Amino acid sequence: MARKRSRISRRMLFTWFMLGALILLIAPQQMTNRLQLFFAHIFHWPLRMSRDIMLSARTSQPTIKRADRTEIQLENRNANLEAMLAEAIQRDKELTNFLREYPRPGDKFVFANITKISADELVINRGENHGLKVGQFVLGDNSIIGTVCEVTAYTSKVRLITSPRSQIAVRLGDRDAIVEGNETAMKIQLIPKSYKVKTAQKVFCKPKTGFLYSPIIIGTVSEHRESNKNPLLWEITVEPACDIETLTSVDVIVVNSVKTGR
Amino acid sequence: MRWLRFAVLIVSVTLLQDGLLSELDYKPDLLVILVVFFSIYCDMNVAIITSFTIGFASDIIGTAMGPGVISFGVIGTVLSFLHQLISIRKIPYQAVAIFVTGFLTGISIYYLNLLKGGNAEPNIYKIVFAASLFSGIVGPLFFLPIAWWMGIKTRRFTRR
Repeated sequence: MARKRSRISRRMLFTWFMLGALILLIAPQQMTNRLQLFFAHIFHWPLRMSRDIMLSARTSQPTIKRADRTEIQLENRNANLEAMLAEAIQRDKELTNFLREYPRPGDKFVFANITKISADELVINRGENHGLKVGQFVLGDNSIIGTVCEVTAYTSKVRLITSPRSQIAVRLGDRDAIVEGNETAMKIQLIPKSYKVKTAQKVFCKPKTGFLYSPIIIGTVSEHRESNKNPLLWEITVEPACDIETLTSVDVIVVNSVKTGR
Repeated sequence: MRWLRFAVLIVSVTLLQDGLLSELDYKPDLLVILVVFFSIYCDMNVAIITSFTIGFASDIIGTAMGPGVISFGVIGTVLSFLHQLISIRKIPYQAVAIFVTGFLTGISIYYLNLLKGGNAEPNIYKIVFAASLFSGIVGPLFFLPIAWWMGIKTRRFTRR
């Protein structure tokens, strides 16, 4: 008799717990997120401390080895080509005539010397007369370093990607994001913690109609940690793919404006 | 069963998993190790309660609520039931039990997360396999300190 009561009790126990679990499963995400936020809020201090210990242990070792200039250029070029290849394969599935059109005839790089450099801007010796216009992307060591923000006849101002006023659409893995300048580096926010981010993961500038037709590297993830504002999101720090301060010349991407029918 | 000690253990392990271990690329799933421990060394009622509680802890530090509770609860209960039939006494058997439990919970949590609108992961089987293998290798080493903390005598247990 006792054994029978115990068996029923066991089944009931399991049934009640399963019922609770199913309620949690079908409950709206916004409601259940509050539980997770509550936990993160209550144990904010020990969690932050333990993560900081791990991060400091990791950052004491060089995570990204800085090679010489030529090697950086080649690495960036290689990353750009890999991204272009991936993009081309993806587009090939959607547009059968893509390969006939790409690269578009007339697209060019305008070489320019840097005449002045400041913390968040640089001035180059090419302007409207050379085909430059506001919004065009600027390359340094084969990576995006900024966008043209002001144009005169013979000179232009370039807003660097590290400028706090800079916001550029990027791709991190298969996810779209916005990278914002943060003086010496860049920040990506609003990426949920469920998305796996790796240190040294490459970040590519997203193609933009009329300005860029294939992804080009903009930087690499140097650090990712839980956001202070929302513990369910990452706060990702992105380091530029080249040393902007040592640049003496840049290339501006001038996309052909001739309509190709795409 | 010392429930206060169990609560302290669960909170500590959850914080450890979400804090110190979260930054590592390769890490054992301490919650899976706990589920297997309680399924092996406690009676079935306790195993059911602890499995669901550990699942809840897994969800609290996970991406969505529900998948962990269901996966850990069901698999922990099944393991406890199986332990009545097959003794999981030797360390290699315990390692295998941790590996299988880790793999099954990992996969079921992933698919239940997808039901809740989670992101698809292309290499999920590889990731879960690696994590389970790691948990299986180091898991039995944690059994002794857990047993000491919970005041459970591991050497004197018998198959229920």
